[in-house]
Amino acid sequence: MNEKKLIEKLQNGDESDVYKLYTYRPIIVKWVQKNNGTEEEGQDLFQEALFVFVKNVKSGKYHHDSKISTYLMGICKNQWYKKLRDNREHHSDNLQDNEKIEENDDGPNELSLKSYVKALMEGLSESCRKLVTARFYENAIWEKDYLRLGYTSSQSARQQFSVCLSKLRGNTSYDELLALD
Amino acid sequence: MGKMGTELIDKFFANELEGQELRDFEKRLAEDEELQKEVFILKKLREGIEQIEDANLRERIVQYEEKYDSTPTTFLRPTQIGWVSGIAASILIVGVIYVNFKPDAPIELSGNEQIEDPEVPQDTIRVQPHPIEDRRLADRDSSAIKSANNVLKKHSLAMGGQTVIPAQQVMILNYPQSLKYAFDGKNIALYGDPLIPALQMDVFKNKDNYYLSIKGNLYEIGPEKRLSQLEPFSGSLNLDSYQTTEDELTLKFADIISPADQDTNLEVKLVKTMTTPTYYFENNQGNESLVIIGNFDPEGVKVYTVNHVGGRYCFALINGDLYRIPDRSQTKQPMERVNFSRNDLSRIFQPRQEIKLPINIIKN
Repeated sequence: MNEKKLIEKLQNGDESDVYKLYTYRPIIVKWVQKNNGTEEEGQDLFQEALFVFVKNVKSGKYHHDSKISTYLMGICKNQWYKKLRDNREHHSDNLQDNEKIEENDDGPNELSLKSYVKALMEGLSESCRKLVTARFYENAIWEKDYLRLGYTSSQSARQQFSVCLSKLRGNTSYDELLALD
Repeated sequence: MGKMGTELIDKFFANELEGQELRDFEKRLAEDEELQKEVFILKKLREGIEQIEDANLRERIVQYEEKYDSTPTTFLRPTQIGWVSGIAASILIVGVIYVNFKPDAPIELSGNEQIEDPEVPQDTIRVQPHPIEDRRLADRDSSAIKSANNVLKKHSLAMGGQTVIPAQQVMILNYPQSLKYAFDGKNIALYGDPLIPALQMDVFKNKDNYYLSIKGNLYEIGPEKRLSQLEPFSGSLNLDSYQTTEDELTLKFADIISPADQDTNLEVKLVKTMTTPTYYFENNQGNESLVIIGNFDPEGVKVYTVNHVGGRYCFALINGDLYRIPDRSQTKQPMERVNFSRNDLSRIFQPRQEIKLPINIIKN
């Protein structure tokens, strides 16, 4: 697997090679099993690590200072030890519940925010959604990312984003968002 | 708060404010209630988008697992890459297109978005419901069902309590199929693989010509009003430089279930009882029969065998509900109601939402 190429593709929004990283899954699962976990917990942990890895690459938080396998293992170890700590602190063996709480976006209010913002985003054009998501989720920097976002200059990307952001902002209000808080 | 204010707040969140500009902003933020509200609004919008994208990414991660697990020894198995990597995220049951499986068959677009191009003869375009949306199949006033009922009367109760399902309700199809399309300049109807991930599709335009990119492969799409083979583009096109526009094409995925062929090698029988749905297979001198037991009316039962990557997979579509028939067991087995949140072959039975693809203009 060409790690550099995979990361470059990911940074350009192309996830077509991510599935290849499942080749590291058995290593993680074995490690979890050796550390008092089950196979299922190992698989769940690997998926969580992969999620964190992809998100960090896209948002520019991962710089390929270490091999991907090392990075994934690092995330897994941190999360696993944290869960073991949490379990001890809460005198609970129910790891599944902890995972579910994390996956469920921490409660009904945040889910409402998600639905609300989703509806707002659907009111934008596809190209606007792409720009806003690139900026807010992937931390796009116009000077660096304008080409991959399909613009001829950072200025045109910035201007278009400004139009899109105004549209998004114009369709909501402080009171509506406060009600979801 | 104007546009400039919103841009400033965006820069603040992106850590693009520095020095005096940052100090001025922070000072104003501490004093200006309106600015505080605007910061709150943008913060919430960013949080909402992060939640949406996190959820989308988690779903894709699950799909990549399916994709990896179905790729036995090498990463480059093009016949397997397609169906397992489809997007399950946010699939909504809405209208889809239905395309008759004939080389020159007219295309049918779903919903209210019929092609409006005056050059397209209206008699070639009809709206058809997807079979799984048509939850009251038995009530449809269609000649096909009337015909099925007539056949049913002839066959029913032929074998003590068992009703033979009419042959035209027992289908077989291949998945995936060769890709075909129809295009009117605004809408593309794509036939052959309803599970292609949206993320792996792009539209390019060079002068007046349109190109569809699927999983990195480029196809030229001419203004074909009738179903045509999607041929790989053999010319040269520089995709390194293009501009994404606000113009979009609507891509509608054809249902590949409805135009399936009759399966002449399988007979299906129904035993109507008030029990939980079960099934078993019979094999009499090489003739295979599937027996379905449950509180169903025979006219609402359709059985599909899907040939996929060397395997045969059986499904029963009964009054709009889909059941998986996991194996060809000769002892009674429960019928498994399909949960569409699973990313597997059953999703070809689910209507797929049309997608909007922005047009990328190639710069020469």
